[in-house]
Amino acid sequence: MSAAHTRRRSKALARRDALHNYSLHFGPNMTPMVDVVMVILIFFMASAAFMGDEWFLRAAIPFEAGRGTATNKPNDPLALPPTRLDVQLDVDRNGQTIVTVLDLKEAPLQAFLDRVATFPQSKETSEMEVVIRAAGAVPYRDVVRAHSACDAAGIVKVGISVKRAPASAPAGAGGGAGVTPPGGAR
Amino acid sequence: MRRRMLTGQHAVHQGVNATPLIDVVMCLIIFFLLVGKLASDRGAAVRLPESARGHEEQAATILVVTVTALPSGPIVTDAASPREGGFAAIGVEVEVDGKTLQGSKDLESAVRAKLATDLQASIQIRADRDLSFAAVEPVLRACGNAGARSVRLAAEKTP
Repeated sequence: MSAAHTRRRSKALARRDALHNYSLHFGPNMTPMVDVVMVILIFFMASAAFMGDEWFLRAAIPFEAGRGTATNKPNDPLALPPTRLDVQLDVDRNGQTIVTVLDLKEAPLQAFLDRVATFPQSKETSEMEVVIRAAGAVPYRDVVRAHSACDAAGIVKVGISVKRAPASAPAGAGGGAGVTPPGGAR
Repeated sequence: MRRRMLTGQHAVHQGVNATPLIDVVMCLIIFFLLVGKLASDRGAAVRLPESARGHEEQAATILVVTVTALPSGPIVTDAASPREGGFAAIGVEVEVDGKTLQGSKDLESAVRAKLATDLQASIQIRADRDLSFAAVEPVLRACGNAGARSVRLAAEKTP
């Protein structure tokens, strides 16, 4: 092997450094784009996980019409229902939620949830209308549990009844167009 | 000749290439700005009631009403309506778009204004799971008085 050949070979080896490799690169530099795309990908993954942990239950707001005036309720979206289920929620002395509906008389809430789960998945069930009438002391989470059970049974129209403000309340509670003033329906 | 020019330019540049770093940092800043805005809109501090069933929000216009318990507020079990003292008198804090509302009159105005822009607007009620129904009822009543036919009750997904 000649000295000239050895010199040529060592020169070729020395040229294989990073700069030489860089100079061999053709086309656009992809590194910044890959960086940005990766961050955007992480953003959408994180936001999807952040926003996917909750959902919503649609609840109508029928007003209590007062005693003996079950018809002609101007703001009642559930007027003249085909089948209407009035679910009375209250609390007993121990603070447990009790329910009165159908043949259940002051039964535990779980009994109602079990009963609703036995409703057949039929057209009649889906057309049923449920109004949840909760006493003030009932925990809000139990109202949502009852609503959720109805939703799971396939009942589309579920309302949460609210009482009209008493006549002694300030006028700020009502007065909207087409809305009966507080206490006016009684 | 061309190779010599390229190597000459690279020889001039010294130190770390900061371009990818700036790209990533800028994206991170935008990310945290957006997440912070989302978190404030949705009231991340609210512990929602649990539900095994529910629906995704599909409305284009949304009004988020957040109902939380005041730390030192009274525990009300029978509130016909917030009287003088407003929502604070029944131990709840009601927020709409990050603003704390005083009473049902303010809430009605907010709901009415939103329904005026879009009649199909969705009213989301994000109420704390530990509240009693008496604390949530004035909010529902105000929404009904303002003309909302229905509301969306936010719930946490359970497996």
